[in-house]
Amino acid sequence: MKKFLLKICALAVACAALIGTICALAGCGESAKYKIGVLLYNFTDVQGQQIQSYGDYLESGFDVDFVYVSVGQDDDSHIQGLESCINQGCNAVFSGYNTAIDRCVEMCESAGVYYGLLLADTATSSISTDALQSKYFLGGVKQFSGDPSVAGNQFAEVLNATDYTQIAGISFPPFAFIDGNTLWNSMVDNLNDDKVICDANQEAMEIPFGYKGDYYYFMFTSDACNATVVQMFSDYPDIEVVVGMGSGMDYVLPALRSNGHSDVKMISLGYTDQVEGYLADGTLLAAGNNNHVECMASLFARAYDALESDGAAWYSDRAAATSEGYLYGGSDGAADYVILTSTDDVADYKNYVIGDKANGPITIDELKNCMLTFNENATWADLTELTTRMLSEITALRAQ
Amino acid sequence: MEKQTKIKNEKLLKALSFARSNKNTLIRYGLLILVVIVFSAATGGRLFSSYSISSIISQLTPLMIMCVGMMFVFSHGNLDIAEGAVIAICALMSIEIINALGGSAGGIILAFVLNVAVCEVLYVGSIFLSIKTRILSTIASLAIMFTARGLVTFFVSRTLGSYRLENSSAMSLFQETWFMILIMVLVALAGWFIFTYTRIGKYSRAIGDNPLSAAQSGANVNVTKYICYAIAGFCVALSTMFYLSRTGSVTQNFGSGREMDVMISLILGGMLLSGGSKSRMSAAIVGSITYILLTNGLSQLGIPDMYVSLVKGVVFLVMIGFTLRRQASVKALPR
Repeated sequence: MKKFLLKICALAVACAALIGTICALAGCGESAKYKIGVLLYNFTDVQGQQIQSYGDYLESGFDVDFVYVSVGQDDDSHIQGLESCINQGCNAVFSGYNTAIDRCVEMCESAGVYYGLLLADTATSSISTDALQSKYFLGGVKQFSGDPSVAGNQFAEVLNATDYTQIAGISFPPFAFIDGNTLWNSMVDNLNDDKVICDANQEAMEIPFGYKGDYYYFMFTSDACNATVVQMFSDYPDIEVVVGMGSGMDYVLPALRSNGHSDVKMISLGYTDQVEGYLADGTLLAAGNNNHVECMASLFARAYDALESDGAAWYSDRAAATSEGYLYGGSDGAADYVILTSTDDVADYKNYVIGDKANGPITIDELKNCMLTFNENATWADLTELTTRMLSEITALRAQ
Repeated sequence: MEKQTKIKNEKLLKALSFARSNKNTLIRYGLLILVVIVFSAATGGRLFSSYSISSIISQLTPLMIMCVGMMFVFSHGNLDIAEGAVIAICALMSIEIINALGGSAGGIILAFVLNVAVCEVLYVGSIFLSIKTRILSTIASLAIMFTARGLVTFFVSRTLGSYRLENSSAMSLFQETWFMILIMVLVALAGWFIFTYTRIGKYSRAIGDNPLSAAQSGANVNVTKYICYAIAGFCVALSTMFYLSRTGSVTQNFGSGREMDVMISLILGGMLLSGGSKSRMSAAIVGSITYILLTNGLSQLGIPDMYVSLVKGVVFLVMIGFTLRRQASVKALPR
């Protein structure tokens, strides 16, 4: 009986702690005119932190509150995240991914909520015409300024400047990272003749991926990456440089190290705090990351204009898309992809991209100048130019 | 005065004794009431707004159907961890069929019938494998899970990242609130009746307590297991239709994590992981409602996902702690 009473007491304490925690975490405060939900897998990595940080900055200049909801990687939990945003009274939702896109747009349409893709675009997503033409679909944001081959060319330049000749690539599956195919193909096309690609000899997937079967790929987990790295070096023991396109810093580099390939150099898509050290000691030849501030700015401008005008705001230079029956979804915005090749680049990146947003890639005043709500002469071209600023341009502007 | 105190003490002891012998029932309903009260207050009633209720029903329907089916499996003390992958492969097949038949009612019926067939093959096959090779049923379901997930990934990798319904309104019936409630009620009633009043349910609980005793008491253990897994398979096939109607598309991660949802729901409903005579169908029904309310309540409060997982984990652990001591709580039968 005593034990039972003890358990009852423990349950009561646990309930009290639960209620206390919930109340403490829920908090309360004045709500802004608009609420915007952001759906991502997590907000703990650089990507999530940057998006959240710029959201906080935007809150200081616009009458808007951001709500950040982590979602699982399966379709249903993505929908649950969207339902949660709508339940919380969000007027617009930015999703990092194109998961269950048709259904999400349909749900938003019925709830009168705007929906946009923060880290994906309509061009490389499978989206129905109904969703594309919906008044409530804001479109997406093209990464790599809309042309991944530019980043591929830059990587080729970096490789051409070295004496390394044996090059292998590793990434997520071609269907999961379509821009990666374009980037890789462009890089391979621009390599000097003395460079040799350690061909994975996989089955080619021509359309719509453009995967030629020459880079290795793995199914999303670090274990799978590790196994693929083992396979890669079993096929080609003399690999000198690995181009890690599938989460290079998180998966590929640790896999190389744990398999004893510390001398192998890397080009990495992805950024962590370790990049600076690895660039300094020569382990990394280059690293890159999306400019998440620009992604947020591009989609936020469209969302805020849509909210203020009830979907009527429209850039005059996007008339072609309107005539085809598309509204916002007809054309994607674009954001730059930052490539770092030296510790100086990392310092600039830290100062002007991931640092203080008031001195960052896009200030509130600059953004307002490209939004129809605040400037009726604003153009789509202006907005796109603003959101595709390269690190060198940002540095030159802010360092003045 | 002393007499009054004695009477009071006796009443208190009786109440405690009652609470102890009905511990699981009290936990089941107590937790549900607690979740309702806490989150109604914390969300300012937003948890029960019309949109929220509609999304809760939409989330609850497939989960409750699966929980009802899995109750038959869990009551043996078995675990199934293949639901998510099986749902994914069935949903993928359904999309192909529904699209091929232009989103017609015939296509949806055919898709459902084939879903049932596939689920029956996988689930009955899984327990057949377990019985014949004497491996743990969990290992057999693990094999099913990897096979099904591998197939889904293979097929999805040949497209632009997802399979989707060409006619998005094809499955609109499965998104109608009245239809979801109707199916939920029918499945819950059927499950409750079979589990409580038929030999299948009684034998299942007996197997959970002691398979040898159950066999000696006249239960055909293997046949009971086959039937229970067939029921579970049917429920998984049915819930697939609701999951698919919610998303309208299938990606490589479709359905992942649903097996944990089922397990946590049953535990929240006061179900013992070891199954047995204390198993009640109400654990599946109340547990799934509690789980969905808990999840929605936490996310509506804007609590970050990592804290949501933490709270779920703590509740899960507390519930296991409360329901673990099975042997002591089972009354000794006269011999």
